[in-house]
Amino acid sequence: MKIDAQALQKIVDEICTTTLGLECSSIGDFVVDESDAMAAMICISGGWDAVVQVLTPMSTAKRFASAMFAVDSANLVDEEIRDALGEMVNMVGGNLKGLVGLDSSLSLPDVSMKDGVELFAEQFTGITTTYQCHGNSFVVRLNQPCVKSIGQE
Amino acid sequence: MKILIVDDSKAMRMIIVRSLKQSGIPEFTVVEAGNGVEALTMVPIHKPDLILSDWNMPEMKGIDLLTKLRESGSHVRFGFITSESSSDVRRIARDAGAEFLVTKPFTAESLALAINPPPA
Repeated sequence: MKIDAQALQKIVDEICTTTLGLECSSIGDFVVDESDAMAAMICISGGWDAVVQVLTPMSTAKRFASAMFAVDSANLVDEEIRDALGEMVNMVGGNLKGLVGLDSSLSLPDVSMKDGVELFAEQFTGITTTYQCHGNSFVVRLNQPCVKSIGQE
Repeated sequence: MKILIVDDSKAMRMIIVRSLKQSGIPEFTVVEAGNGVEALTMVPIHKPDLILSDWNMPEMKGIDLLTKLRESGSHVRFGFITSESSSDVRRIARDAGAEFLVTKPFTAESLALAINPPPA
């Protein structure tokens, strides 16, 4: 099974629609402001080595968390926002792994705030897809090989 | 029906509870655990009728939780709700005694069908 941008977009769209209850559309180039961003990463290793990253402005991460926790974003704490973003990347990674179908392991998600974006900026040369979800933009990337550590906050 | 939800993500536990409410499953109560170790201690106390567990969790994976339950003689109904969807994972889950595996993202309808499948 070939993983291309279209396959990735389909997975992200389904997650946004089903889990968040939000319509999501692919957009053109979008650059996340590193000073106000979150990054979540998950590794797939074994028969298929890959790393998936979700990059979002804080506002988008809060929107995701607000939908998952069914609370106003003003009432969210950092741990809940991390939790929500971790689940997003977990679902993207798991579904990609299932599509590929090779015997691989899925890591636990790793989420960092603000400083995490800089770490990945130069390492991703694979598929980059960008989305807008009710006015909130975000980036989902897929690349190989798997990066084993995410760095510090 | 008493349902034990096991997932290290509080967000996902909330989503599962909402989906259960939307699914039309009548008269259920929920208890929650953040990982397999916590769940193991809760099973003999709360005696759930059904366990809904994630696959990948810190401390103890869902498959290890299921294995330990079956080794202890427990026949509690057990289903996975997980982003893991490969055929290998499904086979491992089935062989270990899981009744079903629902893939994230999921709908209330798919969850209801897994928990209460129509008669054959």
